[in-house]
Amino acid sequence: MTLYEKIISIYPELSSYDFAHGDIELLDNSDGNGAFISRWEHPTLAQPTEQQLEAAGEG
Amino acid sequence: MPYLGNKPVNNFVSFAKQNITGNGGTSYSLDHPVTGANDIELFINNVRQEPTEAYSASGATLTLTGAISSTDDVYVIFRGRALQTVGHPSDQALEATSAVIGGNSVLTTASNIAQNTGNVWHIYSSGNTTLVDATYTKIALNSTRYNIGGGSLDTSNYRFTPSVAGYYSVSASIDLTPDGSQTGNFIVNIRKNGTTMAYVDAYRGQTGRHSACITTVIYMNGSSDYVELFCYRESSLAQDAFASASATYLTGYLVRV
Repeated sequence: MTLYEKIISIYPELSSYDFAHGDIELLDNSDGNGAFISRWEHPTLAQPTEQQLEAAGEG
Repeated sequence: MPYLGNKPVNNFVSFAKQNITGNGGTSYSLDHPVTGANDIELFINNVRQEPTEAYSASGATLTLTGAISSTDDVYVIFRGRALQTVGHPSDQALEATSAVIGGNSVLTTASNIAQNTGNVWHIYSSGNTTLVDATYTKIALNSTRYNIGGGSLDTSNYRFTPSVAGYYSVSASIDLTPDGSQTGNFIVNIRKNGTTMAYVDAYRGQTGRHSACITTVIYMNGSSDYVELFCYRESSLAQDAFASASATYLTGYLVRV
């Protein structure tokens, strides 16, 4: 499951969100460490914790 | 009094006179270099001497066919001089049908002509870069087609650092792999020190290869500033960035310091 899919599973309302130009940015440096949240400035939704993301991945 | 014709390029030139004191010899130095004996009039005791017969002259050397002594009254009138320096009038445009300015020099400013020694580079990825859904993925630029001028490509962090400060024209292109029939948006994104400097939104509307390119100008400090290339791929797409030196690349060159 990708980081994007984990975030959508936590916040389904972000399924139509514009991750390209919005207040949330996901980044992957192609260094083998995978994608991460490089910016989360959403006005109402809190940035998911590591625990939430791990749980979303297990689900 | 006005004169007809074009304005003289510099100044009117007066004839010059040089007194020569004989030393019993035949060779003497001239104050002004000449091309030959006919460029001067030589008088010995007020008797004019015949050029090439009584004397010869070359450069700054006068050679007589007979010796003169200190009691002789000897002088030279310069009718022509071998060398004169005429400056280009500052109030007139410099025009020519062609010009050769040494080496590979280029005109950088109106007052300074020097070779552009800035960096030139064209870097690309030797393999496909796996793109991630709804994520800005750094293109793994690890190969060099050109790298001139001392800039450095970090093949671990996939970033290029120019070694000369100045304004660079930076261009990038990303070509998606041709597999699949998905449609959706992707973005070509140039970043300096992690900050977006330019991007372009593109759309993959059908099967096949699709690419997009972008050009911008970025100031680089020549020491710590670096540029990277990212690609954002919408989750509806499944394509990666295709490995191609001619289709997925980051290139740049110094425009001015």
